[in-house]
Amino acid sequence: MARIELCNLEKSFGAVKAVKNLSFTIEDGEFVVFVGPSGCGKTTTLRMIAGFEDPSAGEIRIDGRVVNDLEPRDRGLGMVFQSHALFPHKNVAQNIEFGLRMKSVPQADRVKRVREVADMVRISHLLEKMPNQCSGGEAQRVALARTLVTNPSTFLLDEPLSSLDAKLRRELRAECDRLHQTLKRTFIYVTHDQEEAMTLADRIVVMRSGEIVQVGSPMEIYSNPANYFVADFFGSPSMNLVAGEVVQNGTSTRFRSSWFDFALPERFKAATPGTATLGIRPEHVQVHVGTKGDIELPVRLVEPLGKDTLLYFDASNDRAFVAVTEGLGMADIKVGERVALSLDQHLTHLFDTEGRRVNTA
Amino acid sequence: MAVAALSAAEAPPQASPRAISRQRAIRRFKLSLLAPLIALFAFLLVPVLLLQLYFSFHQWTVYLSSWWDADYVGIDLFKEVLTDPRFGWATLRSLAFATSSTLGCFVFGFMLAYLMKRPFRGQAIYYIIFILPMLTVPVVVAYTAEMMLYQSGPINDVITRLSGFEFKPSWLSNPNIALMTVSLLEIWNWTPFSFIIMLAGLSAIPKEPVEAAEILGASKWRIFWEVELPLLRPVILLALVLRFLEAMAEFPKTWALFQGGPGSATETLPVYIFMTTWQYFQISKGAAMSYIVMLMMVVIVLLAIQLLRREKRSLDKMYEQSDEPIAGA
Repeated sequence: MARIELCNLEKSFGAVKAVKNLSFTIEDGEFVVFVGPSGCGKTTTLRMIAGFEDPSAGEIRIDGRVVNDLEPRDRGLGMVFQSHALFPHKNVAQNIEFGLRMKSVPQADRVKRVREVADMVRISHLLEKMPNQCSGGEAQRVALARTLVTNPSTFLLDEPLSSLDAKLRRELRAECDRLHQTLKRTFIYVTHDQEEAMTLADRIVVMRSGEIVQVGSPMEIYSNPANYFVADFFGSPSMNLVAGEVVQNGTSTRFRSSWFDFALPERFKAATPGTATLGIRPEHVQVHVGTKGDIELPVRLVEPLGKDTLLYFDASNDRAFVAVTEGLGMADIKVGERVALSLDQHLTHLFDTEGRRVNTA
Repeated sequence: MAVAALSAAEAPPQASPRAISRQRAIRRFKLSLLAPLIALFAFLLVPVLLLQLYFSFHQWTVYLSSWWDADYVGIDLFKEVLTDPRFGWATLRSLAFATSSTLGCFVFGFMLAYLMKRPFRGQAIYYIIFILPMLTVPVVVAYTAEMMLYQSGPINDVITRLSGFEFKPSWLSNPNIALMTVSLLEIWNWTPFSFIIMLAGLSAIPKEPVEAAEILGASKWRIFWEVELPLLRPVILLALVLRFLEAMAEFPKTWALFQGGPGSATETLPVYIFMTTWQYFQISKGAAMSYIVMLMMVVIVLLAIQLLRREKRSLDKMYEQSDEPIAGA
């Protein structure tokens, strides 16, 4: 059982404020992912929860009890590090057993627990090996086992997968998910990878320059990004963001850029005219060959991915405009060919000059 | 056979001509860096070593005019040295002195380094204070010690006042503790050396395993014993070996304070060699002794290098992270 409350948490390193007035509650059994670009304060927040960093201000409560002055070992947490942090001079079994030995668990129980946990993360065949004889993925499994064995109330995971290759990352991501399902413990996971955040989290906390930008379920974050930053950060390929201006033209509200003129749907009727950014996810752009759509653009690049095909268009913007079409039907389009595009009216976003999302009526 | 297999295993399976010429260029570059040292060795050390070798096989004293007129005596001088009980005692004293002072330096240096591990306010000042003894000239250490350590001198006085007990050891005239006095001075003088090495070693320990141990419930003591100390082993060995070799050659403090006395209580190898050569003017015997001591030291150094290499290899192995599991490794 662990409900973790962060109250007005601050952390400064000299003149640099790494975490600014952060308040957030992590419910018991929840899988929360802190995500953001490097330097956004997510790891610092995790290290404060773990007890490796003292907050400059604010409180951390675990199940209602303030733990600011508690040593890391007295907080009942488990942590997995980015660099797996195994003890290089102990073999896998001794590494896993370490936490139990520190708690003076009798030898027979230790052996039993180590076996159980090793089975759980499928590393029973590695028990006699040294850490340097394990591959990156195996080492991270050992690190997980070493944490699991002490049965912590909360798992803190600091970018545990970022040093692994793509395939292993997916595999271990599934492993983390499975562990969370079976153990029903609180998981706090830090990553800069939006995909990990989307797939693992019950709730995502998006951070930027020491502050929380948005909190929500993966779907909320994906379909209702609070601002330009979140819109741009989540999704692969990322959201098309077109710089231009909102123009009130008699009865209709239109969005104009140098290459683009689009009638905004009813809900943006109240938008203030002036500079703005229009956002639309690549999968919400429909591609029609021949028929007329909202805009017509020449194709710059075709990327057939098998399940989908990505089309990149030349826009006068510094970034390409991307559309996703299902299957390989569009894979034969020639580069330079002009194609008609229509945007899904309900799924467009508008951001003001500050990057905030323009609320719809 | 074993050598052939080893070199075959070490050579890359298919060395292209380019790779070979690259390796040669690297070797040439390394040699060019070593060249000044090799030149210095060839022009300064080698003539001295050869001259010593000549002396150790020829009976010559300063009373003979030209040294090249000395008679060849074969290995007689070596026999004489090796059967000389005074030489044996000097060797034992040197070993005792080097061992005790090395351990002392290490224990205090490590303790100081551990205290200085984490940054704190005013750390630089402590750092300078801890380094100072090493920057003091050994002869100055000896004369200062002489002024402080006489029987009713300030050190005994302070200890007596603080403890309330009559504390009056005769540091400088009791033959039973004279060698210990020098050893304590050596510890005072050279603890900074061990301190610097251990501090460097401590700050090179990766912080993640230590933090992992912390959150797994290990106390500070257990972390030290089970995580930090094993990771420090190679550094500890280096600190011990370097200090031991230096201590074996300690001369200035011993000589300035005791000249080998009282009696022969502080007659260590360097002192005995010096006395033989420059007080008894047995230049040839001194040369033979120097050679024997040098050979002893070479053996110790070779053993030490062997040990250090093994430690370094095991450390490298510990940290290297393979992407593929090494089969049967």
